[in-house]
Amino acid sequence: MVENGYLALAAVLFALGGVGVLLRRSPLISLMCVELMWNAANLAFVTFARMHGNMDGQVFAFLTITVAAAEAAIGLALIVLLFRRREHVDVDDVHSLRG
Amino acid sequence: MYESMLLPLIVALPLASAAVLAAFRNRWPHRVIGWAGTGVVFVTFLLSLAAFAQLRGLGGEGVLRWVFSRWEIGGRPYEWGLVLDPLSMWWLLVVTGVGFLIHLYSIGYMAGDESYGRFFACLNYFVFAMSLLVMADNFLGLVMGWTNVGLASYMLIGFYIRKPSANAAQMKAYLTNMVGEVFMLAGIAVAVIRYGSITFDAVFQGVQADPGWATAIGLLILGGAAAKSAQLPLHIWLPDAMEGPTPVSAMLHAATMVTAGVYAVARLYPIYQASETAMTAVATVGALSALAGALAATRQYDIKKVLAYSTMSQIGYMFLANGVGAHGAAAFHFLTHAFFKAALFLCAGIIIHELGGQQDIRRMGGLREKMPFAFWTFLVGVLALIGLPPFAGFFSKDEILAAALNEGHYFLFALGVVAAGLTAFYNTRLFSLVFLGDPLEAPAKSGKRKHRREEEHHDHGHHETPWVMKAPVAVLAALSVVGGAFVLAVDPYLHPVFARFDAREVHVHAPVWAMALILGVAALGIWAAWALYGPRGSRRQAEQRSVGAPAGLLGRAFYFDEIYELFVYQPVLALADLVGHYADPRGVDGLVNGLARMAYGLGGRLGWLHSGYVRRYGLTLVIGLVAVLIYFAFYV
Amino acid sequence: MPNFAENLPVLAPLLALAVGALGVLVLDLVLPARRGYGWWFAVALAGVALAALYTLPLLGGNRTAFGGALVADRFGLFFWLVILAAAGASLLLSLSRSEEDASGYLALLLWAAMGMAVLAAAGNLMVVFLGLEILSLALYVLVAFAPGNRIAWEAALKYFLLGAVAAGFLLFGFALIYGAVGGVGFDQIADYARGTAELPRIYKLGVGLSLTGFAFKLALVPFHVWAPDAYEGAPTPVTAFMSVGTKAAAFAAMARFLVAAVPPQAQTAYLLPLGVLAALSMLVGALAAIRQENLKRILAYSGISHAGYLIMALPGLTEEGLGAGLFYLAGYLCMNMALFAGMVYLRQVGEDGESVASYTGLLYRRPALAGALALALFALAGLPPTVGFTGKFLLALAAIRGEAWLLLGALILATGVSAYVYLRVVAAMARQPEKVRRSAAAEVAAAAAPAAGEGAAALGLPDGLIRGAAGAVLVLAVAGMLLLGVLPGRVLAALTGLLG
Repeated sequence: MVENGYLALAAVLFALGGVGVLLRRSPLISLMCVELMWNAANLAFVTFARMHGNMDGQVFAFLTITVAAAEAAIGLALIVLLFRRREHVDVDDVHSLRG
Repeated sequence: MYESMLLPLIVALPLASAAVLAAFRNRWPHRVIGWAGTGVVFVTFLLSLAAFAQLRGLGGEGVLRWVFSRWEIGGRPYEWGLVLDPLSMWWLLVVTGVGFLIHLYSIGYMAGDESYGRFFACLNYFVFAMSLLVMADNFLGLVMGWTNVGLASYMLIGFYIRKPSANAAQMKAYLTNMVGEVFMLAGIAVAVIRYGSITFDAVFQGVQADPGWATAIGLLILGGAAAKSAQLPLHIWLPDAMEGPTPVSAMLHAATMVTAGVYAVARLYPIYQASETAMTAVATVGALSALAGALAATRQYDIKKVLAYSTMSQIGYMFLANGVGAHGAAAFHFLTHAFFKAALFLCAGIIIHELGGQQDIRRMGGLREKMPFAFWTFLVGVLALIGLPPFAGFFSKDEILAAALNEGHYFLFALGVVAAGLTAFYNTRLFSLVFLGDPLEAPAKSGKRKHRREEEHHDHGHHETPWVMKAPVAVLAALSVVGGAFVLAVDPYLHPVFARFDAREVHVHAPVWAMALILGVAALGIWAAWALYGPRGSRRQAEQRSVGAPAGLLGRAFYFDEIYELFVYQPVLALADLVGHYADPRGVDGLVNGLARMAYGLGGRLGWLHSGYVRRYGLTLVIGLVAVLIYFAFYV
Repeated sequence: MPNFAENLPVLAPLLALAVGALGVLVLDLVLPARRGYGWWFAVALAGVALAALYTLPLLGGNRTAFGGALVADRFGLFFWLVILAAAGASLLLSLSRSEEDASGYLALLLWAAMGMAVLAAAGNLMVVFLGLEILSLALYVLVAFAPGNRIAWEAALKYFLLGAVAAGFLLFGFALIYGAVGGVGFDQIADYARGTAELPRIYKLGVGLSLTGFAFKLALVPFHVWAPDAYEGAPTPVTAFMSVGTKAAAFAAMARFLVAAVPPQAQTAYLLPLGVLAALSMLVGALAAIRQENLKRILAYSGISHAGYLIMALPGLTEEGLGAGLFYLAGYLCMNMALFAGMVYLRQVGEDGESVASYTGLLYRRPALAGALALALFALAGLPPTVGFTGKFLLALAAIRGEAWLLLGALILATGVSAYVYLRVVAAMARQPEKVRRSAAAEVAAAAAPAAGEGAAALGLPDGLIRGAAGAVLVLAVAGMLLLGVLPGRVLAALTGLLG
């Protein structure tokens, strides 16, 4: 089935996104990796919607895209805040809260 | 079953009074606060007497009760209310009666203390908590009373809030009791799970044919009871609890609160009756505590600590009685002990009061002429505690040892007899060092302990003792003389309670040779102490000249404090360090880090492993996710 | 096209919150901060009050809106009330904010409350995701809302990144469930889970992924790592709001999700991982709090323990158990709000109020306040006669009924450990005051210096009003705590009624 291929792709994208968040030090890249995870889910939604022949999945995917836009806006704002305070941006610099 | 409105009144009155006194503690004059607090407890005592009459009117099987709150969960009814049967009546009368006398005494003893109002508020609150405990008819109520009593004790031990040693003592008492409470809650949880109800009766019915679980429940609850009643090995808090004012020591830590454990075991006797192991455990804990307490008491220098270890020892006797099935004897010894131990403590309070805060018996001596009243009442108390006829202690202790003998616990009987001899020994030593012979020097204030507020408070040298302090002592001393007469009342009165679940009929009448043996051993103890510490005793001078805290195995009470320090306190701190500093957030991640470091060693230069912090958090998340997913994929 | 008027009653409370938030923003444009400052708060509070007012008539029956997308049944409505109470309380505690950006802050707070309400009333996976994101996005920004505070935006960034990852888990889980079921409504999922003999692995993986997403919002170990940082970094009223509101909303949504998605025949197996997470949370939360010196951080870890306690309501998924969960949440609201109100009050009178050391001798300086706080700490430790004891007792009963022995054991252990944590603070309050007076005076001086430096006092509301509001929250919370603790019968009957 063609759908299985799409699902496998979605799973791989999801895992790639997750690994990316763990590996990359730049918050910008981290944000992009998170977007990748979300879009993997979107791909799965759309694939399933096609399999089941109903629209729920596609609607869900659109909802996710909208929310992701808002999420990105806020994420970027926080990263800009970080930029203003430091020359370069690295999530590892942020660790005064611990214990 | 009879709905009585007296029950809520008995509980609510001291609580309301505690609240009012607490609110107006700095506004009302001391005189008003003292008499109001005392008056309320007196009224509570009268109400208890009225309830007693009401209960008598119902006949043998009658029970008074009152339901406060009733709710249903999933069709099962839960009730929270109060109940009075002969056993709880017995305890309630002592709590309110002795409580009243000690309130009266405190009017004089606490005079001039800046926290007078707080003291009476706390004391009233304690009366409330203790009544709540003894009037519970289900495990929920028992725990509620239990915890409230613990809180009252916490507040009163640390009453001298500016004294660091009092803060430490209150924390120690609370934590030790918390350990016991965990056991107790676990036991109750097991009972509730197994029998599906929180009422005593349902659990009692359930354990009848279920000895294995009865053992488990009984032993767990024994853990809680031992902590509250200062029995081995959870007794460590009691000597330190003497940091509280002396009336508190008399009331909570001698007469009433510490016997809550005895009450719990007596109240839950069907659980113990159903399990031979649990019974034996109770009896053994009791006998060993009786012996250990008496041994430790022989080497103490602080008058209140002698009495504290003595309390531990006497409560050991009560546990022993419970453990051999003589619940009536336990209740009886509780009664007489409340009389003579309260008398002794209050008397010690008078001595401390008149000597301006001196508690060290090496600095006393020859007080007979100076304090004739204290001399005579203390003598009565000591004789009752040693258990010489016709004083009250004789009858009750004799009943316990006889029961142990008749039930075939020869070893425990022997332990009890040895403890009785030691009791005679340390009491004679105490009495002689305090009242007889000559003092070493004029009772000067020792410079070392100048931070003690109890001393500061009594710092004006010699005090006259007002009648409010003398009257309660006189009453208690009189009761210590004639209290033995209750021996005729106790068994018939409590019989309806203990007959319900087919308690074994325990014979409490000793053969003559046993009685003679006990008295002989006591006489031996008195003789030995007289030879060593009498007015011309061989060790007396050396003892009086020694300085510092008691040392040695007995003086340090078998090094229990040190053992706990090493094996409990330090490891717990280390564990806390471990979790607080490494486990979280490095913790759960610490594990991850460990894994990471392992992988680092294996895989060489994987740069991401000495990673940043947010990403480490992310790794934790992902590992958790993978674990959950593996479970769902392969095990569901 | 669904009839809008038909859905309006259910929608009204949500709209009240949203419109209240917009109102504050509009007011910011019309009235300059210097004059309108008090009005902003008034409008925000009015929004919350209006929402509560609209919620009350709904209590009569079970309504749904938008074809089942929003379920305003009594279960959800109870959560609405808890969320609104938390929002109202944290608004009152926020009165001391004196920055120009307060309008944005207030609007975000209301929107977060709206997101929580949506989440608690969600009837399908899409609305769950929507509600979750509304509340998360608002909270990410709120956490950062402490200008000049470096740790606040640090906390926000961490919270944001991890939250987005966790949302990804949830989303992918939802996708897998949709793939198996073919629909996103809870009723469709329930039919599928009960009607299918052998559930496919993709469905089970979906449930697992979704559970981790919920566990993140509830701050269950090991998905809790964000919580201590975010709680400490955020402004105090926001922490108060987050700790109760997020927990309530996520709990409601997770309960709905589990009731639908867990097939009754395999309940134990499905709930086991959740039980393990809950037990871990209780223990880690209790142990990690031992060495903390900051009260906010102690409360953060305590929030982790309490999330674990809440899970005890789930085994068996019975009405009775969920009732106990509701009861405990109401109690948790009171205890937590009391403590946070105390912290805000102390800050207002020039004390530190965050480090445990600063509480030394409080009993002598402010006996009434210290007494109320001690009561709240006792409640957290689970001592009678407060709701802490009654609530834990009911939860323990629920766990016993559901035969969740692991949870019960963890509860007993964690209660023992955490008693030490909370009583340590009480002990600090009761410690000798002499030494403290000096250091307290020094602290007051230290606290006064930066306050003067900010020079924003001109914007603030009258001091008395701020303190009065904090005091009122404290009094109400303590009253609720005692009422629930002493008369559980009435309240519990009412709650069980809500479910039936």
